[in-house]
Amino acid sequence: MSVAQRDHPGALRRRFPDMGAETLILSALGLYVVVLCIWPLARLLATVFADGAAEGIAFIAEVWSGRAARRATWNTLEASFLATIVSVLLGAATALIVALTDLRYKVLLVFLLLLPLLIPPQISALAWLAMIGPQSPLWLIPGLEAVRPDRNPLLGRDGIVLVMGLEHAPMVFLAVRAALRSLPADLIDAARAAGSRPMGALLRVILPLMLPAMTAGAALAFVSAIGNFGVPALLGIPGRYPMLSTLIYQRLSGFGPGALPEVASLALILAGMAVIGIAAQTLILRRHAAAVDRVGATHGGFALGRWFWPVTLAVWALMLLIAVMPLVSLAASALVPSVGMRLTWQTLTFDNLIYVVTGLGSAQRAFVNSLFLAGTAAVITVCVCAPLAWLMVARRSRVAQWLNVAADAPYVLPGIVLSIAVILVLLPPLPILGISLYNTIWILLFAYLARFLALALRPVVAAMAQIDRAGEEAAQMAGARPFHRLRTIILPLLAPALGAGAILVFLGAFSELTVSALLWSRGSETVGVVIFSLYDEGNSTAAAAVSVWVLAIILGLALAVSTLGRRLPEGVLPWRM
Amino acid sequence: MAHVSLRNVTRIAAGRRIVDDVSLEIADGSCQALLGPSGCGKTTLLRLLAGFDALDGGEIRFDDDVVARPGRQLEPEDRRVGMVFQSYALWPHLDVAGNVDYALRVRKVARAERRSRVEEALEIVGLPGFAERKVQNLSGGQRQRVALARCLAMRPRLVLLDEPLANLDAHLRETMIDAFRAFHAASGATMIYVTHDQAEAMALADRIAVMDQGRLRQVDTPVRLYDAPCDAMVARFIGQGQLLPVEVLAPPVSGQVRVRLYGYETDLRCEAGQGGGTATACLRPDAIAIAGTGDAGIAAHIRDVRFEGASQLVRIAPVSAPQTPLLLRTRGPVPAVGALVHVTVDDGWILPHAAQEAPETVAFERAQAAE
Repeated sequence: MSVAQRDHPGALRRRFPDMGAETLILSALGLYVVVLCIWPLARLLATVFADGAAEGIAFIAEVWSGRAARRATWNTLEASFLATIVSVLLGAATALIVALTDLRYKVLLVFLLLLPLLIPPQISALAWLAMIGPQSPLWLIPGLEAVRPDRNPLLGRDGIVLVMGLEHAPMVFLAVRAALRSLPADLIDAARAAGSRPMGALLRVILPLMLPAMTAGAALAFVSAIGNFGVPALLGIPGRYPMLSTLIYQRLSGFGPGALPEVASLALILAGMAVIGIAAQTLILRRHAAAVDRVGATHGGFALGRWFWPVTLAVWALMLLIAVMPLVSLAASALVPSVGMRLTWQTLTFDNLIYVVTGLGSAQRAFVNSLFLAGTAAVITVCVCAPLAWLMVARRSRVAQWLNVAADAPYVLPGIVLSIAVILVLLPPLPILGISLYNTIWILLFAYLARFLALALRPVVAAMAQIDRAGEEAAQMAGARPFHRLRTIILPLLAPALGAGAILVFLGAFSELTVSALLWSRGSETVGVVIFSLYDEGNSTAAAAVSVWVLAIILGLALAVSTLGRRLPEGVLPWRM
Repeated sequence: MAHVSLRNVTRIAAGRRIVDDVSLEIADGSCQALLGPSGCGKTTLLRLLAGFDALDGGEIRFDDDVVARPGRQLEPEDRRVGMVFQSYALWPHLDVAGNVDYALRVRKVARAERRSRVEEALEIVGLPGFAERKVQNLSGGQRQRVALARCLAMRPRLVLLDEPLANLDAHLRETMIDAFRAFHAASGATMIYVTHDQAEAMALADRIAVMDQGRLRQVDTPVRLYDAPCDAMVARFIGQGQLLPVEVLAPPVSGQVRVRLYGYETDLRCEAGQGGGTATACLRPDAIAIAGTGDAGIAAHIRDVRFEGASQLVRIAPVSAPQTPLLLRTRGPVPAVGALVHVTVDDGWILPHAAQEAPETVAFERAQAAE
């Protein structure tokens, strides 16, 4: 047929696979991931093991034999372990209540529970300091006046344990809730039919089955705790409770680049602890995956009956205490003229909120820098995620799957480890350009791109996996080449997930402190750094004011992404019911 | 519009020969069905034709062009092959017209011609005026029609259909088969239709290739496949064939041979060179009848009766072989369960290649499983 032949002239003469476009995309992505994610971490290893494995280990042992390093290591393990217990108790209990009871307003409950995922640790720490501190409105409550402390009791180990425990409880909550959702209702019904009351079914059937998920969630919470910087920095440094992340920070900011070999060793010790935790979590999840039998409907939930009101009251009182009160206290401490004053109608002022965005140079620069960095990182990351997820899922490229694993490393390893690694590669002048990115804003962008690639990649890959493969095959049958398919079929279908990924990266990068703490320089402050510095200088009121602005931006964006969430495939947003 | 030629096509995955030495010629403009139980390799063969999978041995040609050969193959987008998917694979972000004219946009066909081709294609599949509709608001049958229109508009030389009716209910299948026929007539393209449903294959295809365990068992017209299956697998898979050992009494005369079956003598069809001795006969339930009282036949007890609407499916146990039940289909009255009857065999086929195979003893269970 002549018309048809004109449509596609001479196509059949080409007999070799047309691999050009795909290979090109894959090479570019490979270069991107290797430079950002593999190069710095490899350099970190190379720095310590430059003279061979035995010498490297001897060097680490020497660094570790110092009293400060040993104490920091022990403190890191102690505080992280205790914080993990807090996370597991809170996360698992709330997951069971949300998934298995007829409690009302669960959406709001889940949002409050998962709030710590959105709020950066240093702001949480600041909020808790404001709530428990001597100036807190808490002590105005009649009867509590007597127990008002003179010194903030959160400074030191117990405060770190409490705030980090609450901060990482969502990880346990999400793991247990996912497991409960895949728990077939039949198993619970069978236990009831065999004579168990709900509590008996919980103890004999549900909890044993939840054990792997709880353990996996605990491992994740532990890894996050040892890598946490914001909480130990705000509560541990003044409280004289050094941890590895704060020790690394203090050594490097105190002694400068000369301390790099030593802090690199400390970073490796920290990374080693994280790797053990991640390996444990991966192993548990892998074993668990085989055991779960995903058939049948999930359980509708037990009726609480006469326990309805007691449980409701207890849950909401707890939420008020751990999610609402700290933020209210933080806001209150931003609304008084200076540190130490009580908030009353007479002292109420918005001067601080206005001052930090109009009069305080470092804060102004920080807002501009953080908006620029977070926005740029979000856009670039999403542009990388789309083709990478496509090659990985739809084209089943082995290389792309390896790149996905590599992209995880800078995200799951402690942020302070990444920042040491980034300093190591960017401190010397760049090969061809001959300039060093150290002390510029670009080192921050580099670190953010590495740190948050996995954060956007996960939801995009999840969405990609839910797109019917036949859709792209149909486009192939219609004669569309890879670039054309990517543009006309994959991108439109992936758009909601890409938007969500971009916002997740923005949220993560906007108030980032852990990575920025060592990489910022004068002129390239970020909001996370400014909050920390203001607090460090004793200007808690201004720190609280900046935090209030950050919270407003973060919560506004979270609301936007939740609205977008209705159009998203399942598994993209963690806080969706 | 293309003659498709497969020569010794082989696909190996995980050490298993999923498609094993398949050679098949598909005439220009014909409709070829690939029929077989699930896991027989028919879908893999289809994906090899589409270019989504690479073969490990053999060669595929469209007309005189080699499109696949080990290590070198034409990309799917260069094959000018249309495909209709089980999941329809319509693009949810495009409307009906956007789906149908996608291939034309890819080929940069002018806007006016695109429009007229879309309208023409929607007309043929019975969806005139649907161009502006959202894909999400269409029913399953309508979606499959849009998928057909999409195929039609791109004017492929070969159309592959991968179990296109599997997601539709029984009633819709009937009307969709008519839609496929109209589609075939309008496009003139060669069609290859993969299914596990013999009724669909028989209703649509000019020729049917029966596959099992990666191999082609028989390629024939629907009528020949039903009347003269080449081996036991095909006989059982198509039309509830029951296999029984028979004794050949005399050399064949004009395609018929005298056999003895449980002491009863009758004439069955066979190939010209059929030898004497033991052979395997394929009997259809429709070709076995309950004889009138006093007539000759195989003595058997009635085991059970299944009502099928216009007819009844009766399971009988021959007196001389009660462990080998037989199925027969009748429209007349059936004596009570347990009654002794005589049955006659009016038609049957001696399997040419199955003499060495053991006869099927669980015909009834198989028939049930097939339904």
